[in-house]
Amino acid sequence: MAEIRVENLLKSYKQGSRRVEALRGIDLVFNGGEPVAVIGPSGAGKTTLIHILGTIDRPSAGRVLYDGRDVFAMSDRDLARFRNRTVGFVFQFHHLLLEFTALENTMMPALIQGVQRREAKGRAQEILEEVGLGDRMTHKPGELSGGEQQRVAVARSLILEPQVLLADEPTGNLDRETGEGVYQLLQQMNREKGITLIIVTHNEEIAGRLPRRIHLVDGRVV
Amino acid sequence: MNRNFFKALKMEKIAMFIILTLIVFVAALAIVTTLIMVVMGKTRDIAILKSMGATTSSIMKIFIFEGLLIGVVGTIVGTILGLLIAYNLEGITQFLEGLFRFKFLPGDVYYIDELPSTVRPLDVVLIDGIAFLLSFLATLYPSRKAAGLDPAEALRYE
Repeated sequence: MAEIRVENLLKSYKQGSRRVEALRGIDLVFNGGEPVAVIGPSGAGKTTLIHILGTIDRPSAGRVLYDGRDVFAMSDRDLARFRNRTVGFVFQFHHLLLEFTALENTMMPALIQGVQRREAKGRAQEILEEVGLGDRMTHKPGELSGGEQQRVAVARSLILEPQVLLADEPTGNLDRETGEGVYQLLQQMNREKGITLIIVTHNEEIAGRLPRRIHLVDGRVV
Repeated sequence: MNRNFFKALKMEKIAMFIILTLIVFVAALAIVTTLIMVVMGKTRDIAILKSMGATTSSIMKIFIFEGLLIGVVGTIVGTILGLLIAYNLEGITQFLEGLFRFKFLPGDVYYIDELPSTVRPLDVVLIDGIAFLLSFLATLYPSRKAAGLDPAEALRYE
């Protein structure tokens, strides 16, 4: 279980000719296994924070420490490997690879790691059963409903048993009931596997049920 | 008299070589543009793969592989068609001449009245090699572009 420590995180990036100050000095500690909601208005820097926590974006200044290890001190190659093993992402718009079946999408992180195809397939089948998609494995994303696609995304993020699960508006694009199902699933994985769960959400109801909420406004924690 | 004739032939061969090189160059550019389009269309997928921990070099390999596949298939198809035409040139010219009632090389104007054609294995190997090399070079720029893509930026704007 990874403890994530964020120290004085700054991030600005260029959007066209405009400079966006997305994060203006964030200090946080996420305890291992803890479910956390990140809330705040649009443009508050929630997605940027999640991207940096998941190491797909580099901060302009500041550090992110996983169990005391400064992740951005790693080379790109090591960072990719670290991301593959440690972090699972679930995005708002599912972000599945459209040409591949649910099973293949779920296998993908394992294949990237170099797991044997047969073993990856076995693990993917297991986890798809777990998220309730046992009968949907050979369907492509286009043939799945929004809720089912998001379940595949959850299954994919979990196949390598990451220490941290980062979900960016995982229910934002789903109707209430389906969103609730996906949320329950995320929470179940957090409880059963002790995965640190960080959910960005606009959904007050979901945020209210998590023991800890981090409120971002204008790139700062309030 | 024969010396002039061979000089002209040699000149013609150089001209042909330049023209063919230009054609191959255009074909290689076609691979570049096709791959750039593919890379642009796959921006989202590249970002997803990177978010799952795919390395920059593995993304680059995917696109180099795709480019080489285009190059290899193109070279093989081109070689087969080229050889078929070269071996059957006489028949083909006769057919075309019959079709259009026209003589490519009238005997009373030129020294020869048919297009000579020989397949030289070394030339075939050389040209295939160059075509393959060029298609490999053509993949480098788009693949590098794909691999260097910033996943956070691609995922930020939905």
